[in-house]
Amino acid sequence: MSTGETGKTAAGTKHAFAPLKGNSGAALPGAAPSEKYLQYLRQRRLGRWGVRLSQLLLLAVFLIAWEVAARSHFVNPMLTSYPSAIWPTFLDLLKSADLNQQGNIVLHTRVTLMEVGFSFAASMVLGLLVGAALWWSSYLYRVLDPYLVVANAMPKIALVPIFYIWLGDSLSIYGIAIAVAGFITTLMIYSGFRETDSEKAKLMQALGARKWQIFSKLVLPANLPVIIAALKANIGLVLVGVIVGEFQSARAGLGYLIIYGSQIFQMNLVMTAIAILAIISTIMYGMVYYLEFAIAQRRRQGTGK
Amino acid sequence: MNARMPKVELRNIRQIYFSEEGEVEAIRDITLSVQPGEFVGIVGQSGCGKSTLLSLVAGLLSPTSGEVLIDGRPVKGPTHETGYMFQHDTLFEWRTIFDNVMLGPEIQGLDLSQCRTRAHTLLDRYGLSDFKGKFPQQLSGGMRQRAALARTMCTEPAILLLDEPFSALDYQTRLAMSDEIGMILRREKRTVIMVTHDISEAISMSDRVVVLSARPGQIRSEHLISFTSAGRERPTPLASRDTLEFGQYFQTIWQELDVYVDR
Repeated sequence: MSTGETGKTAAGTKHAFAPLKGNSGAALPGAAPSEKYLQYLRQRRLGRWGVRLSQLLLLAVFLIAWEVAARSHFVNPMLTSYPSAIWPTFLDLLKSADLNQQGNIVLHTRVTLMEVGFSFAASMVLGLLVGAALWWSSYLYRVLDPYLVVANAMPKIALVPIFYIWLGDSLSIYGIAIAVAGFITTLMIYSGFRETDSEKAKLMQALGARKWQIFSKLVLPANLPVIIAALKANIGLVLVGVIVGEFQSARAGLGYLIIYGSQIFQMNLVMTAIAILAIISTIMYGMVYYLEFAIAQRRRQGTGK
Repeated sequence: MNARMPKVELRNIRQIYFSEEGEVEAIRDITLSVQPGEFVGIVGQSGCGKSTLLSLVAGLLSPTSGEVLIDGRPVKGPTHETGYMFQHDTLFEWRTIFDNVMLGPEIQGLDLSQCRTRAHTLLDRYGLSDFKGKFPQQLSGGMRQRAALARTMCTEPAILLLDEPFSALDYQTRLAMSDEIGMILRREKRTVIMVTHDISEAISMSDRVVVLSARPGQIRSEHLISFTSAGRERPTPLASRDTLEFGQYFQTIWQELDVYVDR
């Protein structure tokens, strides 16, 4: 293994300490880190950049291949559209002020976001409430268990027409999204509640805690990781529910745009809507991920009280 | 009130557990009194109903027959008289060490500002001054167990119930912790009932060791522990392991347990 040139070493030294700030595992203060250690850090950094670069490369190759294949008519661009058409379509949609059926992209996005946001919150609240009720009363759980399992296994999409007839064109979208996400959320949260450390529960009992104290001081905070996992699963499920609901009945929204675009054979429109959906789900996932990170960070560092 | 009234009294306790598979007799006819300030160690094979005994005293279970009395009054549910310490420290990962210690007072609705002062005192005394704002995962096993002790002590229980409190620690930490906690409890003159399967731990810490038989748990023998060869003052738990008597107690108790393994 080569030890590297002097110039590189100096450059490495500058950065070497950055990731070690406040870390008790760092080298002794004042003592220079060993050459081997610097090399290790360089390799770690290179490894990280390598992964990032490969990820970007993969995306670029995919987009370029798509673009080239469509432009060279290797695939029919009528069917596939191409990446460079998405941005102009987006700008067009931004300008159009509901003159034609396409409508304004901001409006469509806002409608979908509203539906997604509300259904997301509602299915979490529902999951928490029902999960808590089942934890509270094991009788209730034993009675409802088979129904919940079957309801969860059922393809909720089959209910779309029924929801449409019962709830009308806008409410049915919320209904289907909550149905798709709600059951699995409930089951996830309940099984987390149920598996809460029994020794900790015994401690609470020995201290004379009432049931609601056990719930609020032990079960709920202990299941924060479960709740976050449920949030993550919910993002995808709620989006499925909302888009399918919009396919059936909407007069606005990204799901509507996709159906409309495919009916008039405007794949640019479809692809643009899909791209926006990808961005929405990425942002939502990022928010949940940040929440998770912030909680873990807090528990690692202490409050300094 | 009679000055010689035992702090804890178990009278003809019998405990049977029911399940779909059948009934299991966990404890048969146990009668035991613990004097105020006494440290009683209970040893026995796993599954002999040791932990059941503690749950009975804590009021988490009521006996199938027999009576549990604290200060002469029957136990009818969890009381603030008892403090429970478990094999695992059961600290809440989402609370700082200080907030963990404040859990008991919060639940029992005690005067919080008074308890905060007590929590600070306890944590300082147990060498955790610098760790009040840390979370459990930032502490070592021994520190976590001391924090758990502080939490148990913060509600000022008259009776401490220790359920194999050191068995999740590594051997060195375990020796150090049993020495340390043993001295703390002796200094504070608490009434303690500790169950363990570690005979040495029981002998080194207790005033009296009660040996339980295998299931159904019955009292097989009781041993008053004193280390007269070490002088008038009782040696620390660690030092007591070097005394002449220690080995004799160990042999006797070991054999009593052994008989039941062979059976």
